[in-house]
Amino acid sequence: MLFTLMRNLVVALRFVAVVIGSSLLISFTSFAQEAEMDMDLMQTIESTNDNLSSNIALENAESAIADAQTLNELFAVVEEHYSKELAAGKDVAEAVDLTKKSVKFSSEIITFLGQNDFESAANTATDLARTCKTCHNFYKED
Amino acid sequence: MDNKSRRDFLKNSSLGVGGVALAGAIPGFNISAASAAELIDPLAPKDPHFPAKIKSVIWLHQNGAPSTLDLYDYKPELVKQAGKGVPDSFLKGIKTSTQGGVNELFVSNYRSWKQYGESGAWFSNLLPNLAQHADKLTFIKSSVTIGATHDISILKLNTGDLNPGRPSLGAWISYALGSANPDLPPYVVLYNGASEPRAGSVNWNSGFLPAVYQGTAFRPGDSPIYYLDRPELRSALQQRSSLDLLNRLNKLNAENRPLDTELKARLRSYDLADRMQVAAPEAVDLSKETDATKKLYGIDDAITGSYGTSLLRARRLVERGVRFIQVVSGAPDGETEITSWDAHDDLDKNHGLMAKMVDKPIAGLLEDLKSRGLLESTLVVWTSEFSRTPWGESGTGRDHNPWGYTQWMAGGGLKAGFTYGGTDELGVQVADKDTAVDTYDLHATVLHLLGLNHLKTTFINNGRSERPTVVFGKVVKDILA
Repeated sequence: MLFTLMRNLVVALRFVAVVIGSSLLISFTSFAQEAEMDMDLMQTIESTNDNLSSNIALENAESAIADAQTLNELFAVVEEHYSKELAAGKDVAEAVDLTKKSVKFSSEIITFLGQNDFESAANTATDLARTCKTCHNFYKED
Repeated sequence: MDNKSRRDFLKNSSLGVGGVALAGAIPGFNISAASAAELIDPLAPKDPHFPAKIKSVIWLHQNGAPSTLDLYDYKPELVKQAGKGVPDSFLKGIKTSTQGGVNELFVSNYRSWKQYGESGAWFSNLLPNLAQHADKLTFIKSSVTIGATHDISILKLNTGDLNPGRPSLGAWISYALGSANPDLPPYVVLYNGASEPRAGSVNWNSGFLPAVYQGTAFRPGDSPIYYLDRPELRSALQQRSSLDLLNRLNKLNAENRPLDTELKARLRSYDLADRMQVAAPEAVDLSKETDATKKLYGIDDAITGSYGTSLLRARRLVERGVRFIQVVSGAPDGETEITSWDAHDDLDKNHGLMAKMVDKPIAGLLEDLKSRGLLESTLVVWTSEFSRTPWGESGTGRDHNPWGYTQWMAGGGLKAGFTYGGTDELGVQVADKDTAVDTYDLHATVLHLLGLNHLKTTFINNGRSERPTVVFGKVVKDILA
């Protein structure tokens, strides 16, 4: 229990740092030509996603909802980032679609968890993880 | 509370906590119903989550990555375009940092194709015997993985991850279902050739699961396990007397420590070793098999003999209740030049030999399992770490292709004579990404056939609930009967 609380606290602190960092990054991009996706943000998403799967498997609804909520907010940041790039004429339509899907999946997980439907939450969390993977396959660096 | 009673209290408490942890993690493991024997025996048989379609898996790892474009995946357009460059449209979305770069499309002059069975599945002239069993097979022609070195992709094939530390599929199955035969390990690895398979035991280890669930490698030859034989200088009577004395002393000690699960597990492993000294050599002893059976597996032939021996042993292990048999392809006895399917050059020579080595034995295995009524309760899986590109390398070879290739399964619970997914017209990558089947999807499907829900097959490691399919796997429902 203590371990879970500490882990959630660390995730929350990282999220705050990432949001602040992202806000600064967004402000900065109004002056710079373009912003690159923050690596810390992606690593936070990956680690939160792993926690989410674990908490769903453990049927720890409170922590899982917190993870899903964090992911939902982080994916909104990612979606905004790619939407701006798309508007600037970059070939990132696929990324916009996939992050929209991720926002939707994370919302659905929150709903399922609110109903204590852990099986549907687990299946949707798998869909969410696969969407992340698809996006990274699509945009892997050459 | 004195020291002794404090120790007892801690032992009792840890047993209770351990039992509760086990109860939550293992299917069918109900703490209230669990007997003391189950608590102290990690290999006690356990019920699946739902009725299983199969009892055993024979996992045929084709080591080195065969070109499925030269075995199962007929591409008339590739034949037409041979010698030309690969159009950019076929390379979209993939990273082609392969060793030889993207060269001209290549086909062998020696390749011919035919359809077989009522299913009309295509086979090349490299697999004439296996082709006769077309209607038993369920092809997955949209297999994908992550292309790295062979060692790393083999690790992913067996454990679902690119980094060491996760349990292999066989270890998860042993953990979830226990052993169906107290005299043999539930997870056995077989191989042919002069040395252990590439990358070694990391591909059958138990990762963060307890070590008792790791695979046991059976060596080729009459003595399958190291140090299992009684030393020549010790008579059978001497050994029996020593073991009986040891057993008596251990029992006396154990009686004073009724809740010491580690001690009981250690005693059990001594007992298992004792029983395996008889059971393991008998399980792999082919002397009682008929000549007709041996011939069916190609044991009478220099090229097919060693692989056929592995597969006949696999069938005998299935008969004896072994859950997961991982057979890694090696090389024919005495062959030193070609030791795997890794044909970066001279594909005709390489695949000519390797296909001949496996074709008749695998066909024999399928026929033998079918005739004994075992195919319905067994799953045979043809799998590889990745496959090979439609473009050539070194003029006559092919490079690595993780973006689209063929694997197949045969046995209980599947649509036989069925093909799922496909690659594009040149065989570069999966045609429809929604049908892509990655290694952890294959694992999820195998577990499903064994009656296990991969989402509920879990183990707590460092406070996190882990499952066999990492966070990705999904059952390929379209291939289920």
